[in-house]
Amino acid sequence: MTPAPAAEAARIVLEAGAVYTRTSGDPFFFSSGWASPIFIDIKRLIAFPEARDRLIALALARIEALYGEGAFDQIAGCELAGVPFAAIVADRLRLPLVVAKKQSRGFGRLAQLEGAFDPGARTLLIDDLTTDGRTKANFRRALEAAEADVVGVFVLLDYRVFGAGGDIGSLMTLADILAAARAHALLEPGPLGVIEAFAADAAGWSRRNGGIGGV
Amino acid sequence: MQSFIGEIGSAPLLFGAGERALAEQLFAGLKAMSFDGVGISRETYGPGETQAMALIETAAKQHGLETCWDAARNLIVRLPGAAPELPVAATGSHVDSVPEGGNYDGAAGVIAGLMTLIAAKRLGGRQRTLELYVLRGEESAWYGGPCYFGSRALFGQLEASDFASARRGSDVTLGAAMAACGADMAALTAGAPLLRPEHFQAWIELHIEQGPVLVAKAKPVGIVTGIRGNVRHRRVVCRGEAAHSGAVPRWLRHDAVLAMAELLMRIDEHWRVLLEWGEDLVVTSGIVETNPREHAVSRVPGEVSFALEYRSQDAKTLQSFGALIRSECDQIGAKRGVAFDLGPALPTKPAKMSEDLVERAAAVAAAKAIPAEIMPSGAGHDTAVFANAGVPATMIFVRNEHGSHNPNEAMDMADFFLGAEVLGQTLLDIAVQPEGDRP
Repeated sequence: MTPAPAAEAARIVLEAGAVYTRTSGDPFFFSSGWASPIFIDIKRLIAFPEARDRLIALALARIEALYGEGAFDQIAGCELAGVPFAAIVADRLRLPLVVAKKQSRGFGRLAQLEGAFDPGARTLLIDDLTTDGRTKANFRRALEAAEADVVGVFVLLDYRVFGAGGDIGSLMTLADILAAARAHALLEPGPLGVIEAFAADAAGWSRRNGGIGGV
Repeated sequence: MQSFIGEIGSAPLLFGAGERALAEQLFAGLKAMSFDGVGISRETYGPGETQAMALIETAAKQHGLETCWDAARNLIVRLPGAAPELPVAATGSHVDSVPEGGNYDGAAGVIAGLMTLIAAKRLGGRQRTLELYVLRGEESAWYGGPCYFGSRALFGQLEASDFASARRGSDVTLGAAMAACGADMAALTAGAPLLRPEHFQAWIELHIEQGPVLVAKAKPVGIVTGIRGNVRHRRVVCRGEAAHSGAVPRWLRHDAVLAMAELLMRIDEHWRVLLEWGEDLVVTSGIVETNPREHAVSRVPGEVSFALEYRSQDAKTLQSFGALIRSECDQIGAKRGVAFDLGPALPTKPAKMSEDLVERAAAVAAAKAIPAEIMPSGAGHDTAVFANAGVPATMIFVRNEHGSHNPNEAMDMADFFLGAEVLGQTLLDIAVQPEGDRP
């Protein structure tokens, strides 16, 4: 039986060694201020051509399932980690690529973007992952300020435990990672239990461990 | 204007040994009367400035030139032409200096102008009147910006806030200093122009270059295409929240200094990219202060203040850059939980020089085989006031090492005479031509 795409993607990420845990001592602190016992480094996958290739194939299937065929005029990648994945997706789909920068530089319509497109271009914004969706809003604003039609925002991993997130499409979630870890014994049972407790109440867990408790 | 080109490189020199000796003598005289132990100090609307102007007036009278003082106590030296009803060909510069400044900043243009009028009298044959304006109060060092008090007075631009500005380190106001010099305060406060822009056919100011361009390009003379305007925020305040430097984690801080640092680095990055795209821009934050009453090594800074100045030849660039700074302040403020208060923005408009005058000066330089660089002026000058009032204007720069506003200004007299040739010949060529629209 072919595993479900999310489960297969989660297993690829685990087997690439991209999942780090800290279930005792100081937790991880994400740049958004959340404390977490788990940190998933999706960027690491760019170093593994076979795994990367499969992950992109799964992502392409998921994108088509979510948005339909031919739904976009261009693919946008978020600086920095979203760019390699967006570039490969754009290449596979033979679509134009645009890079959305964290900050604008200089004057003009494309000051926060690299590339070129006409107003109204139907755009899929791609990033490696999302925690609470706040940074995606910044990239979306940059595209919309340049009159792109942002049809969708897609990430390879959505933690989906910090609330918000909104209408972000994803290939896999933290729940998929934890399910795959348990199914294939890819994380130790002790730490896995701590992380499952965190996933059940991430805001509370973060607050109790010195991080922010909400957006 | 083809007439001045003739045989390139072979045109005769305007100034003789007499004018050259007078120039050397006047520079020496000014230096002797204004040396403060370190450099040259001629205070805006102060006795040193007046004394320097009197030296110029004496030399002008000795050479048979007319002199008068206007309501702002600027000195005007005049050589009437055969058709005095025509708009005049004018030059001039300032004689005040920054404290412990150099002898050539301003004075070089006044002396070159005087040489021009003296040579013109000797040569004869002019239709237009030639005028030299010995201007007061160009430097912002004594009473702050926007300065250019002497030239702004000519066009009725002085405001109540100018008269009220206090002298550095004292409470004497500019208005009081002007009155002490004999200025007609009733006329000046009424704000009526002392002259109309139509009085002038052309205005050309010679000045030492205050940047390193001519030295780098190994050229003695520059011809100026535009003068950068600027926007100054004298005191931007960034307010965050003071906290214990050990006890408060990163994401709970509102560190005013890091927010300011991020803002300045963002501005630096925008600047770099705008230069890549061909914009003219310079940006400076020359003062940065945390409050000494509350700052400490072990305290997360809750407040910092800093100055912000940006300059461009293009008014649109200044406007867009201002909007960019405000947007960065908002974004960084929201991200870091701080607030930026930019305070008032003091603008000085950029000035575009007359293309016709730039061409005329370049043709004169070519005819005399004087290597000349066509360039913008980074520093502000009285000429910007003339240009923005509607007078066709340009400037002649003279190569100068070690920058300006310091006692180490190093202008070679040979370079000065080359610059004076370009100034004098260009003005004289305009003065002999009775016809022609204003350039």
